[in-house]
Amino acid sequence: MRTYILKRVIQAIPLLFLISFIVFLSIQATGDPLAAYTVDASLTSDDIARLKAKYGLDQPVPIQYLNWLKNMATGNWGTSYFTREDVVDMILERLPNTLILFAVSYALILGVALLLGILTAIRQYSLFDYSVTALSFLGIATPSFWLGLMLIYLFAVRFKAWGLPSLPVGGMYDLSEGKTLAEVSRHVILPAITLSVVVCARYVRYIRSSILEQLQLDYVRTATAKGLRSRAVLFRHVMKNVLLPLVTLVGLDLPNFLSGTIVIESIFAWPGVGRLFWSAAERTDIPVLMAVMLFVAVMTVLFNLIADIFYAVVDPRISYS
Amino acid sequence: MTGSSDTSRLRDTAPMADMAISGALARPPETMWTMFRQRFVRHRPAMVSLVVLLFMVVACFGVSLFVSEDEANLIDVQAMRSPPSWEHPFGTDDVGRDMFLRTLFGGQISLRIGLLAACISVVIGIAVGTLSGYNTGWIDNVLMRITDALLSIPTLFILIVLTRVLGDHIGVGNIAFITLVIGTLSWMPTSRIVRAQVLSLKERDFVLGARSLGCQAGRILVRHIVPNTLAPVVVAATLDVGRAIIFEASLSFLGLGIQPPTATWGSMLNRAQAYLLNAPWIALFPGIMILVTVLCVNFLGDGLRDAFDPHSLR
Repeated sequence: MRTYILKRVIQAIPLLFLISFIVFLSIQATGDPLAAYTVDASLTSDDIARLKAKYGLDQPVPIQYLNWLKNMATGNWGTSYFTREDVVDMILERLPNTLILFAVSYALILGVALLLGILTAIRQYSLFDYSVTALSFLGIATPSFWLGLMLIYLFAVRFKAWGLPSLPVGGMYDLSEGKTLAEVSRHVILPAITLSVVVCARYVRYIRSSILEQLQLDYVRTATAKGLRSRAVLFRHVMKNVLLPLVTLVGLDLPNFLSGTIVIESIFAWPGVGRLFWSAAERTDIPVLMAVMLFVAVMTVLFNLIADIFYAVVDPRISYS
Repeated sequence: MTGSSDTSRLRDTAPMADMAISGALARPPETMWTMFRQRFVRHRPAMVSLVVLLFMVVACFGVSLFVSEDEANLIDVQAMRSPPSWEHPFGTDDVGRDMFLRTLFGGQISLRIGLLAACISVVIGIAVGTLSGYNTGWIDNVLMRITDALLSIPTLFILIVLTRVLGDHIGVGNIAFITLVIGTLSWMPTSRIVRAQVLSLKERDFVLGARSLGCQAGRILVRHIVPNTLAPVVVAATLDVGRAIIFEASLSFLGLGIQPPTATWGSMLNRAQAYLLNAPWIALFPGIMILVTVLCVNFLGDGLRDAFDPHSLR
């Protein structure tokens, strides 16, 4: 067991280096990192040279990479070209907001997907099963940003026009109300639903087929043969085997979820990491771009590592070699 | 459905072997292709999707025969933001351009980017997958670690950085560039599928046979191994088309994709955001087009998977 964990951790290290290299390359490929400054015609070539020296851009590329890596490792992630804020502070300030969105979305996804997945599996080929399956095919194909716009139109614009209780168009709380729990929960509903639909649709399909597959196995026949009621078989035995791989699935989905936050957070003006990245991209704020990219990638690797280890700890069938 | 009819035919023919043989001789022989076609045609959602997709391709590209793109982008201030009507089936946008024509022209670009990006992704995926599956050792290790790394960085983040910052150099909204970037960032799942296939295929007897006849590694790969991996690759490719269309739409929606006045479904939605309150139809139709396209492409992939799989029960 311990060797397995150790092995997985050691495997993650070259991966992290490779990721950092790709992040560095993708920014390096973009040419002049000082483009945002050099549009200012009043800068003399002396000023530019001084700026280059200040940011270490006069060094050869491999040295720049090593310097950047050293800075990243020591927590010195640089300052924004625009706001002069420390990049670590900028990320940490917005991270809780993205985590709120993540937590609410995944609570929604898992709750709805489990309910629908179980119901469709035990009523296979019923009208209910067919309608949910059709809806989940639709859900998988829905572009989430478009869904966001439609939900805004329905729940914020139309509901208000019809005099029904409406939901806010965006933001995290009304300035007049302050950042209270009620305000934040009212504001989180639409972005969370938008982010959930595609993933939830996929999970319903996965849970349904996974339950049906498990029901064919011998242990289910044994449990039924010894007189266990079907509800007990389902919840005590089958669901264990269905839920475990979900942990890995959530881990593998994390990059997609984070990609989604860029668009959804910018539609709903949700002050999270995705929106930070997007506003940095609009201004070509290189230090912020690099830091956020590296941060989300490292988070993904860590999350997958934890998921793998958790899976190995919980499921005794995994071999630890 | 097909499974039950197949087994019933077997059961009928078993006692009367003579008749079965003469019957089999009377029919043309069942090749892999005819069996594949039969199974695919019986997959009703896939067939419907194929028809819808063909119709969309014909409509989107055929519209150029009747209307030029400039006419579709004609600004008509008289007809600003008019709701759907007989004259403008999809309504008009904020400067009075006909949404129906723009949606069709937008489809040209969205469909083209989806198809080409999927092609690029398949080619890279097959190359990486076969290389890494056939050469165990450091090549495999390096290629698979690169695959892992690219899978760990959320794709949209790299896409935005590359299109945003490189866009300053080659021009934001260069269609070829956006296609290339989407294609080169989505081959990872394909390469993993191909690698797994190659790992098992290269141990098969027919590969041993080819090798003992003096076949070179390159020829074994190209003639014997790669063709056998194609079935799951085609299925993965259809999913890639859908994903590429959504990626392009997301980029254009953020304003980083194709630039105005050229329409794409994503960039039309980008503009629609500001007029959601008064002209929701601007947002409705391009989104439905994306939804329908991706839905059909996914069903097509489903049908292909079932048709390729001789064990499939449908």
